[in-house]
Amino acid sequence: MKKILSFIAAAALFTAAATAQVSADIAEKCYQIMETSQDIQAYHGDYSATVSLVVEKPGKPKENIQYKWFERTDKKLMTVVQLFPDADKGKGFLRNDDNIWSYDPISRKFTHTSIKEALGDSDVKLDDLERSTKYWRDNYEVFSYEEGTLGKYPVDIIVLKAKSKEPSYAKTKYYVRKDIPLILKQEDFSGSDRLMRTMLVPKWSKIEVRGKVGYVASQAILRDELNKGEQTQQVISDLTFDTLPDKIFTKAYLEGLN
Amino acid sequence: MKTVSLALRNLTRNKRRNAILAVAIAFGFFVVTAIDGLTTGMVGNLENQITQLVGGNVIVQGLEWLNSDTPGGKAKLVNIVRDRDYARKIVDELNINYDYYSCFTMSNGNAIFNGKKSVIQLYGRDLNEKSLRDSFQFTSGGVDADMKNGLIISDKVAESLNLQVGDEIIYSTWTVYGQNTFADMTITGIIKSNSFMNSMQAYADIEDVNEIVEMPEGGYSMFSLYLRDKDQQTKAAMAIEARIRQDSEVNPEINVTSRALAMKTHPTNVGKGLEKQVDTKKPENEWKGVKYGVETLYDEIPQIKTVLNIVHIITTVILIVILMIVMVGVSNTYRMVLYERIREIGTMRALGMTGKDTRKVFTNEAVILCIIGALSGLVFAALVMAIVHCIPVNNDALSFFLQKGHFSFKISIFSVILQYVILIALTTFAVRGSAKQAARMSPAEALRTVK
Repeated sequence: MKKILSFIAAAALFTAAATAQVSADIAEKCYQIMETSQDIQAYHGDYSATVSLVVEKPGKPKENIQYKWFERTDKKLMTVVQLFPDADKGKGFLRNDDNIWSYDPISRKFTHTSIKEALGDSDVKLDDLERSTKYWRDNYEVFSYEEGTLGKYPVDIIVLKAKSKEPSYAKTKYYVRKDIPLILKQEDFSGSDRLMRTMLVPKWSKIEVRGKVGYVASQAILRDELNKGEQTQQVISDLTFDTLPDKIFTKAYLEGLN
Repeated sequence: MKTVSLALRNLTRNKRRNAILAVAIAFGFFVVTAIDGLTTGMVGNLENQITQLVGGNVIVQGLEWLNSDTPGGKAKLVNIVRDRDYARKIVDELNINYDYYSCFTMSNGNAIFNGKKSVIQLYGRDLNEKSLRDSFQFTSGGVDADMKNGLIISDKVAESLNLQVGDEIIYSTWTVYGQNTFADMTITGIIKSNSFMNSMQAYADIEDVNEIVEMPEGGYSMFSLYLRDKDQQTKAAMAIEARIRQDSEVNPEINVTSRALAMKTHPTNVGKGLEKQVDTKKPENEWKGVKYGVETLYDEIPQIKTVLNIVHIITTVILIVILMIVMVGVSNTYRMVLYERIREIGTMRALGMTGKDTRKVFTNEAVILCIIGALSGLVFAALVMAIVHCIPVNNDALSFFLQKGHFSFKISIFSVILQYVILIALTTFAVRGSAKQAARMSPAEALRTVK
């Protein structure tokens, strides 16, 4: 009898864990944390930066890639020019809403593609780039919440489960700093709860943009958990928030660089 | 008939000169036939590989319109055919002449093993299908339909990831709704690949692939038909589309794209025109249920037909240029022949041969010589093509254009007949002057001529 009872208790616990849901208050708190974490980032309006990527793949030498990045976030305009390696110098991308044109300086031709295709096999996913303020409420339900520490920082650990078809992963676990709601770590899981990707943001920089304090992830590491040893390290430098001239977001600008 | 036998006899009189002329014509025909056969074969092999990759030359896809759950979010297309028998029943009802058809779920992703990655195109197929099993050339292992998530890969992928039968890999991919997912899969077989394209192909049981990509049970992503006569693909696609349209009139959950409209909006690229009809950026395109898109290989890759036409035009131009050069030689030769045989012509005319017959003897002699030369060129080309076909080519860059690692040649009977018609026409034209002069010659004057 004792055995049966303990089996039932274990089964009940397991079922509860599998369908873990938090109370409405906790869920609201989690949504607010995620929304604030989005809001306190400095990327609003125009900005430009130098983005350096170090791509590491098992059994292969490290690959360094550098881009100059120009973006006008409110109009979904973006121009990217490759600076390094020299062989690919001058290659670029131009984004206008969902349309993306890649530019090849040798043939001096533009090729049209969609943003989804352009991201292709990279570790960056579409919803890493496209997040409205209501993104979290509309697409996720809060699966669990707990407090903990990550390194020296006390953090809120929020697990969100996709309720729509928009998110790139079925479940995502966020580690958000308690004092300033900055995402320090993000773990993406498949539907079967296996860790597929980890994103670490060890370095956030505080800057003042147009009279408002904002934060920029100056260093981030994206780790492919399915292929151990594969990771991309991203470093942002030369960040400016000056208003960019309209001509930067034109095909003529990319052509004129070469 | 008499003129033909006279012409044949004349050909044996100056053997060396006629042989040189025939060799020149043979060489021209050899070059043209070999180029035409090689390029047509290469383009044909490319087409076959693409056909194999998509599974057939007529494709029926089912598309569902999925609105975003987020207000202001973007709608997307989901590739699902829920009724597995629908397309097959239509094809059988229309009595379309096909080699085989297949329903499959297609998925793109990465095979990951020991820190290495390789892109694969995974086909979820019924592994008990006989035609599929017969097409596999296993280098090790085989089909294990009972194994959950069993995977058949090509030797090229196996080599790049250092895989053997029994190894477990991670397959990283996306669900039909675009979410990232993965599966643990076990290699059950390694097949020989003959080209770059089929080196990426991998096979697993359709039910396993459906589960990985979250395809609804019993569904699939594509129905493809391999027609016996590939020139019938447009006709077959039109018939299938018309039949689905009949159903759409009584069932609002069934919709179909319009090839006629696509041809109107994008006459040179029907595939693009069909794509525009399901563009999720235009809300007026929205539909309920499933929308079937019926496409042919030529709709998707219209360049294949263009390349084939260009190849034929180029080889015909080369042939005409070569023949023009040869015809200058033929024309000069027959001017000399006329001069050499002037007294003979006079004798024959004096004995009663008409001017018309004299012209015929000249023309027939030249045409027979050219046909013999052309036939020799054709035979020589066939011989060279057969030898080249037997030589294995181990070059990845050329693999798109090879057939099982060998060059293959394809000669169109229509092209050969056309080339012969051009040859006869040009030869007749080249000897026309000499033949006419011979026909007009007065017998007495010809007999008086002293060389």
